[in-house]
Amino acid sequence: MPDPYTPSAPVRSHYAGDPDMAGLIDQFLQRLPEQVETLERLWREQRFDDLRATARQVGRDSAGFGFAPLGDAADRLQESLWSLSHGMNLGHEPGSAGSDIDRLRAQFQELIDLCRRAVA
Amino acid sequence: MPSRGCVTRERIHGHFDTGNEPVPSSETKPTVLLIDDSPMVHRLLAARLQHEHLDLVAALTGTEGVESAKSRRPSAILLDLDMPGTDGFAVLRQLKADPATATIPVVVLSDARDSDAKVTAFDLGAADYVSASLDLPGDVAELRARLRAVLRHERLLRLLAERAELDGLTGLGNRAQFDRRLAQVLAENQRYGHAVSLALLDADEFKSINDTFGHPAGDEVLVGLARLIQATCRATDVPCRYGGEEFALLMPNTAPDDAMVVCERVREAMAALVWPRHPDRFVTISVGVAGVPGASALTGTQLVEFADEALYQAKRAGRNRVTRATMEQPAARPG
Repeated sequence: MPDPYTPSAPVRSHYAGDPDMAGLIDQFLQRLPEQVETLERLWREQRFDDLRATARQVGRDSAGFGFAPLGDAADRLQESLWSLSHGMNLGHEPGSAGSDIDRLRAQFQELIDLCRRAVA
Repeated sequence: MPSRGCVTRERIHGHFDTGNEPVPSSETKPTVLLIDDSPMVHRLLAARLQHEHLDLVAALTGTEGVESAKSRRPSAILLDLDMPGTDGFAVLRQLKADPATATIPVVVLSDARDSDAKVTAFDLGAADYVSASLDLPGDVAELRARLRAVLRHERLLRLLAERAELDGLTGLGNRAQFDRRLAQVLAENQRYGHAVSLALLDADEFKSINDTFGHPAGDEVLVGLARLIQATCRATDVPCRYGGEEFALLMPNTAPDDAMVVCERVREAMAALVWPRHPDRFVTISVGVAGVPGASALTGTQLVEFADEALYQAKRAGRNRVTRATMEQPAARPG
């Protein structure tokens, strides 16, 4: 199975083939593009509190439907947004606001990218 | 010898079973209320819990969840602590503060990794704490197992509560059940104007049964009377053992005239019974009936006093009869 962290590799649910999940994974994937649009809009508008809430929802849904890499990426983004909102540094260069934003951007892009690669 | 009327005397064959089976609880599926803001989580858990013996009900907000809990009285609640814009702890606090929902076990779902959140949840009354992620197959199996454990525990507590309101000898409701149901029925009477009647039924000269034939014989009489009352009354009526040899029959939606008919049936049937331990000694009952045909400001205490006064009048008039209260303030009884 392709490593989901390899760029452009599809990200599949580890519940594919689970009869309990028949149809539900498709429903999740149908909804995912809309959630990606929302994430991107909130990022552009710099509404980070709402972005964190949406990332949380994407993360929970992803994890529950077997897309662990998406769930993990959403968790990382959430934690960073929470830390920033509480005035804490994110990165390894203390006091460097630019690095914090770069790190946040990278995490955001990672989540968006994984969402776009999710397949049934 | 008191009159028994023209009825066939029936010999009761066999031994009276004085064992007490509890009123069986409902065997319907337990309802579990899921309070979570994510429609996909609702669908996910509906799929994951579809093989469990339960009905899953959805609420998408804390407010909706609290209202649903009050109206549906689910057997358990799954509560997402991390709903955006909602303090999950506040929802938990609200559920535990309301008597209508306080005893419903709440399993909290949260991604918080710190133990502080768990401690807070448990201190607020949560029954269990489960990861909200459900990203691993083991997470789902764990949620299922924890939910089954919570539902088992809830069922045992419910059975205990039911048993706590049962009279051990007769299997009827006990005084605690009577008091609770009386308050409910009178509240409905005042709100909706339904008729309500209460009968107090007392075995005549019961002490002499015990003294002459022994306490087992007395117990059989009480059990026999209890069964008679149960067999005669309707499903909506509330028969209870009120005291030693005294029974109460609370009849919601029943006017006093109709209550008199029910009680007369019981009286007649009781007088016709033949008792194996003392076939030549019949046992009669005196009954006092009080009630109102519509909405009333009557308190429970007043209704009981009226019925009690009517029972007293029945005894004074010669026993083995049903007397209806005049519903005027009862006179003080001589000591």
